[in-house]
Amino acid sequence: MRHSVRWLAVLVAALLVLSGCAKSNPVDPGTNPGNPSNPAPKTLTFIEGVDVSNLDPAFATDRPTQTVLRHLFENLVDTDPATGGVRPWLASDWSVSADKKTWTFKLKSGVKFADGTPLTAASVKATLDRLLDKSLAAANASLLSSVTAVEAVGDAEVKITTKEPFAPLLENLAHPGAAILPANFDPKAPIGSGPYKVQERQNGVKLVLTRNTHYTGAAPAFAEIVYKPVPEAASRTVALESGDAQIVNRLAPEAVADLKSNSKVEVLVKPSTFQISFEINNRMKPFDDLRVRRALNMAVDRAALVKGLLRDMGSVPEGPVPAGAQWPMKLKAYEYNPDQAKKLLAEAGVQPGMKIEIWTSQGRYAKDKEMAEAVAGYLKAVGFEPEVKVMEWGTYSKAIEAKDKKAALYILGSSVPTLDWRLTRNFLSTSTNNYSGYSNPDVDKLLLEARTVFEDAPRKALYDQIQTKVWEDAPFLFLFNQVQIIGVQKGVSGLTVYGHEILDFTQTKAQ
Amino acid sequence: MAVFLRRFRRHTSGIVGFVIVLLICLAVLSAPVLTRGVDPLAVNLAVSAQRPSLEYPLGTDEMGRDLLTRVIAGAPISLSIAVVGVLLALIPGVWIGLLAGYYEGRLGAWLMRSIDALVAFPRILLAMVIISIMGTGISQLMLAIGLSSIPIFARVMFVTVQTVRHRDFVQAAAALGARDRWILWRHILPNAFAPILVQASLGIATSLQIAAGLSFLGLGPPPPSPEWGAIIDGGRTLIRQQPMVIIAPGLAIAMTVLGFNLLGDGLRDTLDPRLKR
Amino acid sequence: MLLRRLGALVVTVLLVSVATFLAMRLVPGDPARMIAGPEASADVVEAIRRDWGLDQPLHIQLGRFLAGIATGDFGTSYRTRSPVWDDVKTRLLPTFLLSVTGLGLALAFGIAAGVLAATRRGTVLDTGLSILSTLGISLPVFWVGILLMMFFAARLRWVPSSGWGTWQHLVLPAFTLGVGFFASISRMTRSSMLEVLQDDYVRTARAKGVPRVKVLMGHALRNALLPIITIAGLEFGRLLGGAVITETVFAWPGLGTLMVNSIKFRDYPTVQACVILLAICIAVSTFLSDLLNLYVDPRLRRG
Repeated sequence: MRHSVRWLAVLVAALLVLSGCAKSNPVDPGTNPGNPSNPAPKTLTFIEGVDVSNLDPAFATDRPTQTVLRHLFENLVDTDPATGGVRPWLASDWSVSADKKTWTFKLKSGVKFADGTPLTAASVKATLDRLLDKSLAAANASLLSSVTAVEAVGDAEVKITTKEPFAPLLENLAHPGAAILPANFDPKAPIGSGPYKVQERQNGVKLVLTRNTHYTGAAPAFAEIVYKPVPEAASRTVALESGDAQIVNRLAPEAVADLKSNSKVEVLVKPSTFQISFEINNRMKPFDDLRVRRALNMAVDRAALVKGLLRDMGSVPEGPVPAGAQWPMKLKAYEYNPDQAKKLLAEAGVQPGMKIEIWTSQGRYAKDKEMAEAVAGYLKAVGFEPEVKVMEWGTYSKAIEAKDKKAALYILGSSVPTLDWRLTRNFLSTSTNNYSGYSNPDVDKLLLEARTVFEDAPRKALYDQIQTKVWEDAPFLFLFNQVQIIGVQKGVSGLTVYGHEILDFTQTKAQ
Repeated sequence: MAVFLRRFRRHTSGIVGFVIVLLICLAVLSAPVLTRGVDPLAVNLAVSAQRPSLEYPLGTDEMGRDLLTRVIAGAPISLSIAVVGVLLALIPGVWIGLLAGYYEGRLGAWLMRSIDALVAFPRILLAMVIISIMGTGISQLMLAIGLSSIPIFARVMFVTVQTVRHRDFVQAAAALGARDRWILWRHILPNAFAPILVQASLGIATSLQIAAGLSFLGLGPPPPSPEWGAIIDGGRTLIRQQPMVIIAPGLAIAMTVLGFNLLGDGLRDTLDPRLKR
Repeated sequence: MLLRRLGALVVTVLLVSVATFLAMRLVPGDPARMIAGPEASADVVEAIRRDWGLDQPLHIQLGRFLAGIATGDFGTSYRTRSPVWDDVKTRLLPTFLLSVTGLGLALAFGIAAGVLAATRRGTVLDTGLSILSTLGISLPVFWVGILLMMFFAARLRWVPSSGWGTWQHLVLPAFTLGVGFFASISRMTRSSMLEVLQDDYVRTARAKGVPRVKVLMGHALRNALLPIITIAGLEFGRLLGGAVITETVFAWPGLGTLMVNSIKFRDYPTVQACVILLAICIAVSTFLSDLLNLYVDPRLRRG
């Protein structure tokens, strides 16, 4: 009997010892951003909502991973948020042949990868060939779907040939998926020519980047970037308050008001290319009728949704392309007018009490389920009998692909910043991503025509026409434009935030 | 019966438990009356996530719905999820444990191995399989919760049977030629009563926690159902603005569990002759 | 006996593996679409499906999978594109530490509370402990977790808010995990103690004048431990994969979170590896709890 007592004591003691022994690394003052005695930290700790998926540009499709890639690699060209065009990066200059099918890129000289080997035309060819390689089955392969051949001319020149004239190639080359890799690229030990290189990776815990000593540009202020995933939004807020990180991305809208009174932190609210809509099933009756689709757009009080559910951390769409994207066009927002909506529905012969299904994911987009519930309420008010179906994302993303889906409306966000890709995938009638079944021959024609126009101004004019037509055709119930909510410790400056939710820390400083 | 009543009347905590459970049952039955005038599903974004006030005694949830009304309206749904969920786990669990414990050897071993397999099988995956076959809904939720909770009852039963079966009185009964069924029913089951009862009353809380977890993954009851787990999940982001959205259904669950707990204690104490004081 | 158990373990693991394999394929969703991302076109998705062999008939995929695990190869993760084992192995230590500490805290406090409640049956203390444990199991885990985090990490700055690295990181998640588990241990202990206290040998011991504490700790608790050990063993196994909410709130790199995220991503190989590891851990922990039961109650040895 005394045995059992002793045994219990031993167990408890063992547990205490075990818990005490859990790797007690002393905290390095240099890595402790909360330590006030250390005014200029060398390490930037950045907290994101998810872990980096993998460090192979060909397969990086999520923004957090692409944010990391931006610090490891460089592209031929870079997007220029100011003009919507592109600017030189690894390529100092480029030109297009007379038949508009061959692009020639001149490379900057002296660029080196993090292992000291030079970046040459051969590296560019190897990178693009790899992306095109069918046996790799790269997730970002469609960036180069127009390309037929890549050729290295000497060390400093690359020729890219396309099937047909394809102006969007340039902006596709600025996509993180087309980052230039060494010819012997190994995704397990990724090496690029960017300002940082990978120091350490602990799956689900952290990713540490350190300065690339071979980097030829201006050296970044921080010697080290530590990327940490914290999936729960409320925990991220606490992490910011605790001083566990200098930059915390994706704060919840609710947190903004709370953090206002906190003198140690600052909240940045930036526009995002993410526009969330309830796509309308254009193949389904009566939603093939323009009047019905317009009526849906008039039935919902977006301003109330943005205020009530998003705490004003979002905006009412004024066109199918939000600010932050390549060439957004500001159009007239759909007004909230339930009476007019009812009238339009009556004109179209829609009987009150019509049962419709509204599909939504949960937790994929800001307040998606809540949005669906609210929209269902508004549609009920104009005479529909809506039923909300919530699905887990994996199930959902498959279900919406079906042409004969039962949903009248289903939520989906679009975040592509470049207009060819963004508009083509959603609104070209033959696109495999056009799940709504929207089809307008004029829009189809304009979309294909814009691909053959190589000057920015006339090309933008075509996209303006497309945006106007799409907006009038109301293929979606355009819902709201997301914003990026980023928390930083006071004194952190020089953070570059791109519209498509990619952050750049190379200019970032802390006092 | 009269003896039982007399004895139960003297069991204070049993009475308290009985009263709580009675009140909850009353609330469930009169939920439509209690919530009259206020629609638990009426969305009003103008009053989203309000703190408690005179107009909204517990405040409102994110959609501007009255929280008190929702918690009351959710009682029948949540209670049935919890009770059915527990029963769906308890009944097969008890039998599996009983059979596996009593008939040692191949049958018993196989039964317990499948129980081990069931524990290891992820609950969400189970819920997803059920939902992919049957669609989302309350009964699917019950099934997912019930199936995944079988092992705990089976295990508890199994161990109890093993302890009891070698005791003198069981051995004696067997020696006297009592049939298996009689021994199981008369001697072994009553001895497992107490631990099973404890697990069942705790199971009510766990069931509703699981419901909240499944709601978070988009596998819960379809909106705008005021099921308690779904309300709790809806309060995740309101932890500072309107913590009532989490606390109120949490306390409702706690009250329910407490009621069943105390009632269970009282019942056991009065029904089990050995526990006389 | 050990050999038989080992055989049973293999059977369990096989059973779970096949069930998981089939379940993942039964659940709607498309791993190729998840790999390609929502922005990719259908032909890219198709190419990825072919590349991963997801267009192969089911029995061939199953055959490959079983052949893989037979040689200890769990395959390559769809999401991280690295060997699944590499992703999974780093989760083992955090998972184990969190479960053991959470369980240890719950056992220490739960057994103490249960014994106290049983010996003071019907008193205010008993009712108070009962309410405490009820609240412990009823209040949402993420709420408890965030509150602890707000107080101890943001306000007092005693521990880091989340993550993994030092022993300070372990404190809050272990405590959060222990809270819910404390309830079932303390309730079970109370009920079990009450039973035992009425047994003849306890009464005899008391009658013989054995000191009260000795009776309680020696005779009674020892016999009351049986169902507690069982529950603890079972819960431990479950904690390994079921501490998802705690892990998520504290960004703890555990197996449970990896499993749930992989299910969401339809990362079949990772899900399968997680479930297999869990099955092994659960079988081992039930085995250990059975051994403990044998040790505590020699009567069982006859079986």
